[in-house]
Amino acid sequence: MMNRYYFYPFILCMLVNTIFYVPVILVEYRFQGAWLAILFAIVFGSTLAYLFTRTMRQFPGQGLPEIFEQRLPVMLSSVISFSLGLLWIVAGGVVLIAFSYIAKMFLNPSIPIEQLLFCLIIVSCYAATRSTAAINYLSEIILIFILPIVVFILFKALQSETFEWNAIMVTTEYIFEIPSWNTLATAMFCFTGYMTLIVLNRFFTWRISLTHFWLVPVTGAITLVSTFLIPIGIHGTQAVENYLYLWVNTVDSLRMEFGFIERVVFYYLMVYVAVSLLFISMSWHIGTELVSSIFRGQSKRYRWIIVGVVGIATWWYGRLTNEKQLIMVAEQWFMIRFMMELLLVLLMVLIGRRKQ
Amino acid sequence: MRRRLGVLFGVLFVLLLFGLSGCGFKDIDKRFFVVAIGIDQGKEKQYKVSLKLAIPTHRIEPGHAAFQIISQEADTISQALELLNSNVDKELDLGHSKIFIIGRNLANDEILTTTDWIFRGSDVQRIEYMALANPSAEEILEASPRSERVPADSLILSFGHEKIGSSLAVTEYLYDFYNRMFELGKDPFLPVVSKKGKSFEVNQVALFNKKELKMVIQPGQTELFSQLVRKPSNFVVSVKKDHLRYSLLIQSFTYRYQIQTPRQQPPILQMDIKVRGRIQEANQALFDKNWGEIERIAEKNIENRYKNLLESMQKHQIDPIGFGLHYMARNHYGKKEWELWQEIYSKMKFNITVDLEIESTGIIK
Repeated sequence: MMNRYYFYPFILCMLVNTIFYVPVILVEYRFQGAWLAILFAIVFGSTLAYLFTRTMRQFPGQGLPEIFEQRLPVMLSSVISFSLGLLWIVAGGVVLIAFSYIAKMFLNPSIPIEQLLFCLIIVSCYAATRSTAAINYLSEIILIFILPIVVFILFKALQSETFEWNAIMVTTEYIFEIPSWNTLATAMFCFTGYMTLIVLNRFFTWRISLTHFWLVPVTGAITLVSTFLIPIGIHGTQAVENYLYLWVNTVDSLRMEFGFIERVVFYYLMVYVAVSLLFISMSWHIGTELVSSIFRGQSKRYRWIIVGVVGIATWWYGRLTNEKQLIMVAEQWFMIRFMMELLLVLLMVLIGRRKQ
Repeated sequence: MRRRLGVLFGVLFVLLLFGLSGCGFKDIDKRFFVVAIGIDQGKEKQYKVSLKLAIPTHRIEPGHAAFQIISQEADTISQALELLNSNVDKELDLGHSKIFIIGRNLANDEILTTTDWIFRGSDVQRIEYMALANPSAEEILEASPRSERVPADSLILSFGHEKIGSSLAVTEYLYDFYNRMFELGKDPFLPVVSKKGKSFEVNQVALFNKKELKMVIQPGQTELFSQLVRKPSNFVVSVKKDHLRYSLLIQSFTYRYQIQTPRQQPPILQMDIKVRGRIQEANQALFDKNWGEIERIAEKNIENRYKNLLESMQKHQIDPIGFGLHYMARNHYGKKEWELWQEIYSKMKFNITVDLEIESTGIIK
């Protein structure tokens, strides 16, 4: 039963994709291979996840730094830990800034972005320094509350009066276009939840069971397809690329005549406050754990310093950047993550082989 | 150490509480809620923006809807709004605006530029209704029927499905209009709100191609149009043949169509419509007659009216129902599909068959 914690990071990464510009990028390439990218992502993403999990479960209760300790030279393991840590810290930072833009745009246009960033960063920094177990418990509590609302929003979107299946059918014409690496890397983000095992594996002191692993490709496919197709069904094949906050606008195009709140978008924003904060906390937690592992033995002391530096850096970058740059950063991040993930899985599979 | 940290956090949290000064630093009593937005062509400047503001009152009674209309001319809409904001003593809040009306004069080839402001702004709901005003948006905003309980209530309710749906008021939302402005093979339309005495009526629909207003559908065709693009609602069909006259209330309406492109022959749009209805009035007893014959008269009537509607839309080369999108969804010829479709559409023949079923003749024979 405790195995269920294995799936929460997956669900979290799947949910956060609408904030992380995944649908915007996929929709931009809807005539240039987004379909095939989704298909490949489902196959490759779940294969990588399967291989990685199968290796990691040979080391119950050990994170990446502990596994590397006796098997790799100190320098190499430090470099890998540091770059992976940085990768996750940047992910959290991008989501944090992206969400504060959304909050400023749709919740409170008059709030200065500095204040908004400050509030979000304080909460995330605090949460990121908690123990791995606490983060896991937190994600369970939050996901139980919000998943019904997410399912409801999806259902509501398909029920929409103006939902146009023909528009979706038009995009199927381009189903066999070869995707660019960029699109593929973006689509694969939905499956990146397994990467959290590099730190969260410390929590799994037992052998993770893979009996229910089929849930990963299934939920991933549902998420990716609906992330990509529902905006097209509602905004049409052409106008859909004009929207910057694609999913916020899609949800704002839904109407609930008999609800307490007519605009469905407020349910969505409420859900995404929780999802974003949870994702930021988890990714910063992973980031700080990995980076602090470089300082052997004294890692506890450095944790706060690292989180503080990350917070200040995010705050600075959030003030300076704009949406155009942020989307570009996100796109680059997907690409880098894609390559690092491939290398990491390869490395881990080799290490796992040698152990046997 | 731990305790001191705890105390520090406690103090910090209490300090944070002072930051909570209410609704985005502007309290609800410092805001004016805009319930409807209207844009007209200005006399001196380019645009005239009119806003209907709700004045909060403690009693809600029919005929006592308190509102205020402010309007301002300017060359851009955002400029007009800024000027308007300085005219009133409170902050204008567009988040509760439910309907956006464009003056008839602005329905020209600049319509996308005119409406850019509303599509770009994040404070306006995407599910806002959109309509065309005849003659001007300002006059429609000023109209307040005597039954109105809340400002602009009657205007908003005309379009919602919550009330008994009128088949003459075709609903169009902001996001859907924007979608149709760009979509290949699906053209925009807007319901027309016309002034009538102290009130207004909604029974026409304006059809656009991507650039300008092409035709206006009159009552008699509006209800037929509304069945094709929106959720079907009840509508009345009155028929007459020889000595027989009767009216039907259509309660269920479903349709499907397919586009056939045989070689050497003009393309055909085969549309099958299935309707069920109840007789509402007749000039003679119908119960003992052959219902099949009676049905055939109405079928013929509906067939012809739909044919007229579709052919007149075809004549103007507009396609608000989305036949083009339907065609492109099912035929995969790559990029030249769109040109192919335009050629097909201009030559298309409409073949409509209606299958009508009378459910009852009411409570008398």
